[in-house]
Amino acid sequence: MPWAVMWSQLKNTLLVLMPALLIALSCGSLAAWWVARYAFPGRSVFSVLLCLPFAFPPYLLAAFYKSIYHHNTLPIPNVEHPVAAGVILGLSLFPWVYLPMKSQIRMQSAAYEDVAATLGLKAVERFRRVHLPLLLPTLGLSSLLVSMEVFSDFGTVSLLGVKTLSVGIHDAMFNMFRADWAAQLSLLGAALPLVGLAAFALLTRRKGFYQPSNRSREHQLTRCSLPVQIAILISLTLLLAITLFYPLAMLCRWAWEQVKRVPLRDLPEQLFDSLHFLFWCFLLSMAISLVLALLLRGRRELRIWRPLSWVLALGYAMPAVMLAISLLFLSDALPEVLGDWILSESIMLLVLGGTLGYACFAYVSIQAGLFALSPRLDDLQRVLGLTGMAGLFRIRLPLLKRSLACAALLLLVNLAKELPLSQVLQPFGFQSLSLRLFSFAGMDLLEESALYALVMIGLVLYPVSLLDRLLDDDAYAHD
Amino acid sequence: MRRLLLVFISSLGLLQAGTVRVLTDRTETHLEPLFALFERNTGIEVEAVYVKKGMMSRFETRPTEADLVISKTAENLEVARKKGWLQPYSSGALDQISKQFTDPEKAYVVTSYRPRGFYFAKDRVNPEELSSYMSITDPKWKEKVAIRSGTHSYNMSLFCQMMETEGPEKTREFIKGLHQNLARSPQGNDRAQVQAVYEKKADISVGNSYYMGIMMSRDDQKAWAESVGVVFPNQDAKGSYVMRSAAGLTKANRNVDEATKLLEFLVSDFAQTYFSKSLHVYPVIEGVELSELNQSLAAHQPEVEKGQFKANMIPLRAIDEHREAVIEILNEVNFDQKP
Repeated sequence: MPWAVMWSQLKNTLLVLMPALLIALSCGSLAAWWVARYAFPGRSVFSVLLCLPFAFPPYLLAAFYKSIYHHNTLPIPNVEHPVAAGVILGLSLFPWVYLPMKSQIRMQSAAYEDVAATLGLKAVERFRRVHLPLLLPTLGLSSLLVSMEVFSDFGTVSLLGVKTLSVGIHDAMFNMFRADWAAQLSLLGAALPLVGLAAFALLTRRKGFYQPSNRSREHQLTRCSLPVQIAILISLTLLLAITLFYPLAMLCRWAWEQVKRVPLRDLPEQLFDSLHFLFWCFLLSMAISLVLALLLRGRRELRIWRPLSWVLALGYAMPAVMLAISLLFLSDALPEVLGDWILSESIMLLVLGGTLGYACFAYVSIQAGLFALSPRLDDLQRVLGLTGMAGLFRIRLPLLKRSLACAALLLLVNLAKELPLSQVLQPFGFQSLSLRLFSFAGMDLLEESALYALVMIGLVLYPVSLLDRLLDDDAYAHD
Repeated sequence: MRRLLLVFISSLGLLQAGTVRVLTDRTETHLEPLFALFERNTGIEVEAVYVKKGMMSRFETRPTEADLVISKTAENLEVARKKGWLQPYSSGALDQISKQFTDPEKAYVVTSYRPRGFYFAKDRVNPEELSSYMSITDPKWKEKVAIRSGTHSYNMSLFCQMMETEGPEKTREFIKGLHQNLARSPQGNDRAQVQAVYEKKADISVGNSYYMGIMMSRDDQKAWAESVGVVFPNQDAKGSYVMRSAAGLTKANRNVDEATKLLEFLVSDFAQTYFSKSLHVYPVIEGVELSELNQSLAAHQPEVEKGQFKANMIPLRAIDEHREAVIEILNEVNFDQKP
C-alpha cells in the first residue's frame, strides 16, 4: 500500500488515540483516586455508577452524540473529527482505567504514606514519590488495554467518518479486494500497542514494582473540605451525565415511543441469538483459559502448551475483522460439508472467533489468580492426599473463585457487545442485538435502535456492577 | 461424551429442508418485507444472512452456502461470475427482462438501478452549471464539493464507469479535479454529504438519487432534502452513470427451483413497484410507475421528463476491469484526505 495513504490512516489513528488515552487515563484515574481515598456524599453509589459506562458500546455513544450534534439538541462541537472520535472513545473507555486503578489504590498500604509523611514529604511529593510509582504498572496496563480497544475499534470511527487503520483494513479488504494491503495495515495496527508496551517496559525496568505481601493497613478515607467535596461531586456527576445518564435517559424515552408504536416482533429472537452466542463462547473461553492456565502453572514439561497462550494474545491483538476473515479462509480448508456446517448452519465458527478474540481476558485473569496462590499448596495437596482432579476441585478452584468470577464477567461484558466478528461470521438466520443495533445506528435510525440498545445494555449492567464489587473485594482481600 | 456432543450439535441449529438461503450485503429492513411476502405467497421459507461488510470474502470461501446472492453493487456479481461462483438461471419470466439488465450468460439479473448524480444547494448554486460530471472539477467549486470515501463501492463504480467511457486520462483528470475541490475529507454516507450542503459546509455533493426519497421520509432529515436539488449529469451527452443492484443463483444445487422463484419474484411487478415506491430506485421492467418523488427529481433539466433520465448503461463486464487502475489514481492523490 502506498506510504502516503498508510501514513494518513496512521496519523488519524494517532489523532484518535491521543485524546482517547488522555481522557480515559485522566477521568479513570481521578475518579478512582477520589472514590478510593476521599469521603464525600454518595461515594459508594458513585463507586458502582462509574463502572456502568462499561456496558455502553462506544459506537452507540458515538451515534448518540453524532445525532445530538446534527440535530442541535445541545450545543456541542463537531463530532465527525478524529480528535472528537478520540474524546468519545476516551469517555467510553474510562472504566477500563477506573476499575483496575480503584482496586490498586485500595490495595496500597497506608503504612507507605505514614512513612513518607514521617520523612517530611508533602502531599504532592508523597503522591509523586510513593503512590505514582506503585500505580504505574496498573496505569501502563490500562493504557495498553485502552490503546488496543482504540486500535481495534471500527464502529465508532466509521460512524464518525474518521479513516483510521481499522477503517482502512475494511476498505482494503472489502472495497478494494486487496488482502495484502489489509494485512499490512493489520500488522501496523497490531505493532503499535506492542511498541507502546515495549517502551513502557524499557522506561520502567529495574524500578521494582514490589508489593509486599505482608499485611497492609487500609487507608482511612480522607475527609475533605466542603468546596472540594462539591467539586468532586460536580466532576463525577458531569462525567456520568455525559457517558451514562443522558444517553440512557434518551434511549429510554425513544424505546418507550418505539414500544408504543411497533410490536416487538423480532426482539425475543435476537435476544435468544445473542444469549446463544454468549453461552457457547463463554463456556469455551472459560474452559480453554482455565485448562491452559493450569497447564502452564503445572509441571515444566507441560509448558509446551505455552504457544496456545500466544494464540489467545494474538487473537485479541489482531483486528477482529482480520480474525474473522482468517477464520473464513481456514474454514475453506475443511471439507465442504463440514465447512458449510460450521459457518452457515451453526454458530461454531462465530463461537471460535469469539473465543479466540476474547478468551485472553479470561486467561489473564485466571493466570493472575493462580500466581497469587502460594506454591506451598502443592505440598498441602500432597499431605492431604488430594492430587490430580480431586486437588483441583477441592482446593485450587475454590481458591480461584474470585479470579474465575472476574474472568467470567470480563468475558460476558465484552462478548455481549461483540460486533465485527458477527458481521462477517453470522450464520443464516442469526440476528444478534449488536448486529441489529449497529445496522440501525449506521442508517442514523438511533430512535429505532433504542430498544435493542437498552436490552443489550441491560444484559451487561448487572455483570458490570458485580465486576466492581469483585475487584473491590480483591482489594480488601489483600489486607 | 457422545451425548454431550449431540446436545451441542442440536443446540447449534440445523438447516430446514426447502429453505432458500440468501447471502446479501443489502439492508435487512429493505428486503425483509419482500421476503415475508414471498414466503406467504409461495410457502417457501427464506433465510438470509446480511453481511454488510465482507460479503465477497464470505462468498469466496463458501460459494455454495447460499442459494441466491443479492448485492447492492452489481459489480460484485460480475466478479462472482468471472470467478465461476454463479450458475445460469433458466426462467422464461427472467428472459422477458430487457437485455441491458441481464448478463449475456444469464449469470445474474439487475433488480433495480439509481443514477449517481449531484445534489446542489438551491440557494447558492445554479444547476445549469452542473450539466456534466466534469463540471464539478471546475476550480470555481474549490472547497465546495462533498463526497463519501473514494474507495466506497459506489464511487469505485462511478470512477470505473468513467474509465470505460472516457478513458484513463479523463478519469484521472476528473478524480484529481474532484479531489482539489473537496470541501472536507471524504466521510460519512451519501446523506451526510447532503447534510454538509444543508449546513453550508459544501455547495454540491455527489450521491445516489434515491437518498432524496429516504431523507424526505424522515422528519429529522427532511430539511436537508428540502435545501437541495438533484442534477442528473451528462443528459446532453451519453447519460448519467448508474448504480445497479443485482441478484444471481450461486452454484449450490439444493434449491435451484425455489431460488429461481425468488429471483423471478424480485423482478415481478409487485417487487419492482415496492422498489420504486418505497426505496425510490428505478425499476427494470416496463409499466412500473416511478415514485412521486422520483417523478419530481431534476424537473429543471429539459432532458428529464417526470424523473425519466438518460442512463449510461455500461455493460457490467467492462466496469470491473478498471478497478486496479482506479485504485492507483485514488492512492496517487490520497483521495480520502482533503488536500
